[in-house]
Amino acid sequence: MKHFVTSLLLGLLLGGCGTLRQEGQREPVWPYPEPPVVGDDSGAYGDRGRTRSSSRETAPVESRPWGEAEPLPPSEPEAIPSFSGPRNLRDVAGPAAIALADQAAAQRQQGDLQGAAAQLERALRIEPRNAFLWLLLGQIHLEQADTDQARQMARRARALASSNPYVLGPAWRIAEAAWRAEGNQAEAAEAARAAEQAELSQT
Amino acid sequence: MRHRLLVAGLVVLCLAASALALYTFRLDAELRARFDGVRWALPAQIYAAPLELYAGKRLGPQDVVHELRRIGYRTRSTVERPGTYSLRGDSLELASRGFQFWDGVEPARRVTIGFGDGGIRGIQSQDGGTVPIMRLDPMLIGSIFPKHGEDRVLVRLEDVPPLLIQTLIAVEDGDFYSHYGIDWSGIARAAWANVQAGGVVQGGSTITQQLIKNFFLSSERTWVRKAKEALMAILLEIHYSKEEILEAYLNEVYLGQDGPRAVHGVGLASVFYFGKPLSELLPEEIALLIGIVKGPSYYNPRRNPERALARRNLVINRMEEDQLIAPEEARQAAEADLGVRARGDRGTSQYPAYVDLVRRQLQAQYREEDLTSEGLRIFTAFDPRVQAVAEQAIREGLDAIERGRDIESGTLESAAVVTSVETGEILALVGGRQAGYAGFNRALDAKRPIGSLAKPLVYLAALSEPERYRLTTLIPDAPVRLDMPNGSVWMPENYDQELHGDVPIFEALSKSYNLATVHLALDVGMQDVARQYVLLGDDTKPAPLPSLALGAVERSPLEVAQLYNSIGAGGFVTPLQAIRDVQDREGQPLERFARKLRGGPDAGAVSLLQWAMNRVMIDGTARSAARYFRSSALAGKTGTTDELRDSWFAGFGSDVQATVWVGRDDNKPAALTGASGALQLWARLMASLDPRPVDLYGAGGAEPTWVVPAMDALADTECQDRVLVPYLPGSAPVEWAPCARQAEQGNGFWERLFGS
Repeated sequence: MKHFVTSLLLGLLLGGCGTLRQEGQREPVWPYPEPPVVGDDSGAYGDRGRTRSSSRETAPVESRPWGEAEPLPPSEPEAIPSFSGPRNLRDVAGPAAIALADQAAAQRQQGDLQGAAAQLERALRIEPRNAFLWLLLGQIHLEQADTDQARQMARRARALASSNPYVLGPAWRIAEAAWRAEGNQAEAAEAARAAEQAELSQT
Repeated sequence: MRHRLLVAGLVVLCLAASALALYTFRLDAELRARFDGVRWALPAQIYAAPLELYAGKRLGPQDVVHELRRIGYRTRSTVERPGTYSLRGDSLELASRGFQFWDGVEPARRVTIGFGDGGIRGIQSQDGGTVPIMRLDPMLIGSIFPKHGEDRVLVRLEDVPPLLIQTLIAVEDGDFYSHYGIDWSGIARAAWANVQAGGVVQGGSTITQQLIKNFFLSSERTWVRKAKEALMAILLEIHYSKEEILEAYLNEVYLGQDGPRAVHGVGLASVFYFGKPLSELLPEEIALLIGIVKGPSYYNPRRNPERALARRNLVINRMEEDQLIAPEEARQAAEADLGVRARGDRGTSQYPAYVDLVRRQLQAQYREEDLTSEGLRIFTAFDPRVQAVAEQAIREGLDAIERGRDIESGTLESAAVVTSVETGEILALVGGRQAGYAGFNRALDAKRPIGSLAKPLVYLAALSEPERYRLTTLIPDAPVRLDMPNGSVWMPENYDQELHGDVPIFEALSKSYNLATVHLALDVGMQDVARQYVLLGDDTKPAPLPSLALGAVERSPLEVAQLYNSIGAGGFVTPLQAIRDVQDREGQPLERFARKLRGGPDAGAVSLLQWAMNRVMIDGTARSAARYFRSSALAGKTGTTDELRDSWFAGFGSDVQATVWVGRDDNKPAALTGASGALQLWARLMASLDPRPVDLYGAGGAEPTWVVPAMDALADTECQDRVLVPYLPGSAPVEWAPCARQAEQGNGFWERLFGS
């Protein structure tokens, strides 16, 4: 079960299995040669990110699975403001970082966590402000039972993308798991609440 | 009588024989110890960071070619052999070497790299596919040797090109595979020559004898010496196979002098003369190496190129005669120029300061003998490009300062540390003005008072209490008079010896006012100020004395770099590190120095501090550096100590941090402030690195607000002196300045809601 959750988490961060082997189709999402800033508080994603509270009010919380908007008359403009910033690594990383993250995923699959961490650090040298890379590295640290570092990486990710629910959610989940592994249920519960809060804003 | 004489003779003979046997026995032990010691002592090898190539990397074709040349790649019209390239316009064809990295094998590749838009546009492999990322083989920057000042790149026999071995034997010792250590016919020839000349002029030594000569470092030419050598040569042949002797010879043979360091072994000589690994030597280069064996000084290709060329071509002739190479190949080889690269561009220990740092970081983990003999491979974050830029900035900057300020030439010294802000990796380290020479490593060992570099920590302590202080809180720049516990009175002054009245916090920092800073530090509490050092990653908490506010604390440039890198990283503290990982001699991963993050000061407070440190560059003590930069969003701080002994500057963009110190080794006044000295070097250095701007307003949840700083009040477009200042939520001023329209309408709740 636990393994399933972490795999799910990694899958989400990496951008889903469906896109895992696509090659040569992606347009770069930021103007080269500047690396992307995944933070939503400095430019492209800023305004959209701040609309998340209203989306929470109108989203059909009970009846609908996450990620599905309420059906609307086709002629109407979209009524539910949704978060349109990056939702996973593939939305924002350049091809080099994605190639390294793919390599990390493969090494992790083979149980080579150290190797996976090394590849992610390589990717972080190229895109040091990519919050998703920090999260992936945090997850590896978690699996290496280095709970302190896992939490620190998650904290770094949160600081880089302080209003992106797709970063905040997993970041708090990593923190939650780290606290739980240390037996600190109170902190774990608090992190879980923060995670749920962020996940509500994921549209 | 005759009988007794015979007995005495026998006794003498017996004694002599046993003495000889004993002597032989001792020689034998000495010899074997030396031989085995050499065979197994593989010094740790230290590698620079490999150059990563990928679409979007900000490197032009000339930058990449420069890197390729640094690691010994050759330009060729047809790019087939690993280690060659060809540049045509914006397209670089490259055959990379491949390398066994810590985290996996990087294959040798043949690719075409396209350039455009100020960087790499894309990488195509030979079969037309896209290569998302590749890395070059890393540059060897040094090795860790036992005490004696020698340098070696050890090779195994199977890695040595057969042509080199064949040529060596043909030229130096034709009967190598058949003799027993001594070549009698050679000796006879030599003896005849010596008799004719009336002294010892010719060696006639076999490879085995030469090896022994190299072992015991003697070129003394006496008959006793020669006899001893011959005896040892025979002993060596008894104990070891021809292959073992040959391998030892190839690693021992003396091939030149690199300053104080002897160049032993063909592996190092290949790097020393040609800047590339042995396996890539061309026939003419092999011929030159073998030619040099006869007299490394006499045939020194750098000092005596004509002699060396003649000698090389003699060897090429010999290669042709013995049919080691084809006549056509020999002709081409003889026509080629020497191909020796310029001195000072050598591949090993060119960076003694950084290698010194690596050695010290390793000594915490490994035993000295493991480092010098276990053949470890150490991978570091060293960036040769950044290092070259830093060395040049220091060299040229100091020259310019000495010229411009009429300071005696060569009296100033300097040190610099360049780090990657986000990763905490040490990219470059300059230990002194003559960076290529090992010696006093000022970047690590020059612990000097840091002066005003300490001020940002005072302001960080204050800004960490947003309910008490904001960037525009007014603090008094008024006289300070403190009675010290030892009975003395401390009365610091401002650098300009003026008083500036009530000043906003950020201005007190950007203009580096001493008195305002002391007042603030005392108000915050010296314990809190001292605590910032620990929070930012300093190893030792300084004593919480009032003088700490003005930098009466001694730190090395490396320690300062730690503090400023942590500030640049927004309060995320990564212990600075040089080493990424370690491999054992078989290429197996041994240890990883994983990236570590530590909790630091509050990220919001740090982002405010960064903004204030940016004011230092815009209209503070470092404004003279503005002309060097495209972006105005860099942050830093000047530092000057008593009587202008130390001149400091430390600062950063969002990606790279640099700390520079300038002063004198004898600690006499250097007559430089932080701005007139270190800042000038820092600006040259950073301008070449083209740092990315600091995020001045977005980070840490701060909200930018227009204010009149001198009044600590809100401003609108009516206000002349308004400045956009970031405030943590709930900490911005609420009163309007008199110049604002709202001021007339009152500062009521209603008006505030309306806004300007």
